[in-house]
Amino acid sequence: MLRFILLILLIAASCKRKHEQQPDIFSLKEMSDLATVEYTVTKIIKANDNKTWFKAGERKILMSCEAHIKAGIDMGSINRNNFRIDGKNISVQLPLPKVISISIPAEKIKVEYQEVGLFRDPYKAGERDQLAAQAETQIKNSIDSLGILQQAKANTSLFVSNFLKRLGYENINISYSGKQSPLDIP
Amino acid sequence: MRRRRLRTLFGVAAIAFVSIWLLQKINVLPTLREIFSPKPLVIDETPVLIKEIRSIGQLITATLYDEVVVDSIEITKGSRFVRSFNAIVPFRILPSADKQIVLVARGKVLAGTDLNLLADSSMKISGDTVWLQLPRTKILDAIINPSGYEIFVENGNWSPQAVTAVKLKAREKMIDHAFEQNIIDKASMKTKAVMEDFLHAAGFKIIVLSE
Repeated sequence: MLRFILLILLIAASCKRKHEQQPDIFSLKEMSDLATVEYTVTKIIKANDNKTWFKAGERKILMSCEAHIKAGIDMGSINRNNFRIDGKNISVQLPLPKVISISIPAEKIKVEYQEVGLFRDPYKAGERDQLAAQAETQIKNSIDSLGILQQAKANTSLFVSNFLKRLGYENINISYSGKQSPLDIP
Repeated sequence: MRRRRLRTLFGVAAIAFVSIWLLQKINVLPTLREIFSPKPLVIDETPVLIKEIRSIGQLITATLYDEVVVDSIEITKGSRFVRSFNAIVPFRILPSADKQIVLVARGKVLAGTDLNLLADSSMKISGDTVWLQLPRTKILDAIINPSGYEIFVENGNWSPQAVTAVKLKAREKMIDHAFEQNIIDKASMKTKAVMEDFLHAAGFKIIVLSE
């Protein structure tokens, strides 16, 4: 019995926490993304700080934020093999669209209302940022349901078609290939 | 008899201790630290509403990932008194009462070309040769999201508007860094390379690009 308990204790103590991955800072990266659609979305950030039992009184805050989400395709993965040309007819196979960027500008985050109890401190900037960061995560998680990738597909087709028309092609056929990767938002 | 009772008591206490410890380890029971630490502030789930959908044609060809530190100090009546008092005594007695904020901002600057600005006159075609005058390469976006900010020092009460002004300063600083790193030249070169590859693949043999 004692050996069993010791074994469990040893296994539990040896569990290590995962380290968070940090993005590369101070690096200039080349890319080739063609953004064809920009969504502007809004969200209300609502929080009530009344869950801590030893803090008397509550604090409520209501903020609003606006985010800009851009989507499009990676032009870098297009090569000669993606084109079929026959006189004035052209067929292009493009990579599937992806989310290119999400931006929540600081000036678009506004405190609409706040109520702070008599025995409580007002919200600090760090706390407000923390709430906005949670909203950022919620916005990222909801991107799939906004239909931005479908819209990016339609806009990219239109953009590339118009460009190829200006290059002299008359019949343009655009298709997409590749695997739709899970939303990996940069 | 007494010894036996003591041993039983000890055994029960040991089993209870190990059980509680294990239950805390698998998050069934809260730890003492959890009981006496403030609960994290969690926002409610609210819908994301689409305000606008805009067609764009931005070719993003360079991104600078950066981290900057910005600060702001406001001298209040109280801090003015502390400063004057410290100035007349031989060494600093009172701690600073200035309103101060220092923040670290992590984000990225995107540069490239707005292909929507391509005019009809910017493209000329003759056989398998194409002349293309690309719009000027520029900074398309400077992004610092809420998760990219870390408030390092916050003394005094800072209004949301004052904090936003400091954050805008961080964004400006990041854009300045991007210019120092020649982001425009690098983005311009990459734009030309991407367009050249695309036009070659689209069947053109001679491509003349200018900006």
